[in-house]
Amino acid sequence: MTQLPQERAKLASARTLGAAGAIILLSVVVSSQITRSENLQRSLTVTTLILAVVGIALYLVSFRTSREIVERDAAPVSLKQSLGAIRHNRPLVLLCLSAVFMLTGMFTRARTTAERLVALDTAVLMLIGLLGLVAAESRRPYALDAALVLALLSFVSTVAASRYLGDRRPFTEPEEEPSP
Amino acid sequence: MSAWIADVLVLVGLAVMTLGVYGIIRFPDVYTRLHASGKASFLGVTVLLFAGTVGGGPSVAARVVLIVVLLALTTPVAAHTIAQAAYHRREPMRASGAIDESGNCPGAATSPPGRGSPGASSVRG
Repeated sequence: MTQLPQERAKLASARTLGAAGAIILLSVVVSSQITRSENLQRSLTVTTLILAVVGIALYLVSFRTSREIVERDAAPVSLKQSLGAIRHNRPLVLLCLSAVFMLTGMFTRARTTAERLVALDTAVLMLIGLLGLVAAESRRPYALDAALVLALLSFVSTVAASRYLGDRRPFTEPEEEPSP
Repeated sequence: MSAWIADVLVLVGLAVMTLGVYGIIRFPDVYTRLHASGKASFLGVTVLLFAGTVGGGPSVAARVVLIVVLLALTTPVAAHTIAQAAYHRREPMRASGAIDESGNCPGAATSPPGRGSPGASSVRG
């Protein structure tokens, strides 16, 4: 791995050539199996297993032999730092928790798809209210922009999903629709 | 003073939204659940958003008014399309006293019980 454009171009072309060769090899091997073998499922399973072993071996070889020549000017971010940044962001934690609770309740209580749609619509409404509270509490008006986008998106997605649920097409011409 | 108003508005909004979610959990079928979802939750969200405008400036108020107008336009349409889809799929009406005059959905009576209006059970529109 390098930062030089010429070296990166060489790497990319070698990768593309390798992928094309692998696809050609695969199609030759697998297509001859389809016509010839009598137990197709077993032979395909064996082929998949062999390919998995070969792929893992090649991956390990390339992982061992590749060398990274990249100069960083920023210190690497540790996992602890990223976890801390997530933990100290209380609105994000609240949003994630409420979404998790709503989704759990929704999928355990709902019996049909329409009831799931109702529950999803309500969950998005609750998220909009929560974003309003976040914007008020932390004095960030731009959280309301996210709420606005969420309102628009939830309307479009609800209408499209329920139209698809009702007559299997999101948008139909009313006069061409066959009567059920 | 304004902090008190905001707190009261937040409490009212939370109470209304809790009632809406309780209705979604307790009501027996899609059509009655849409009542709780479409009305109670929208009103709760509206009160919550207006609670956010109390301490904020005009930019917050403008955005909140925009969101509320948008939700007031879109929530009934979304609820109506969900009910239409459920009716096309012949989802059963489990509520007691449900009336479906086209006889499409199982579990509902095909005519109103003609208590106050004689002839209502014999005339089909």
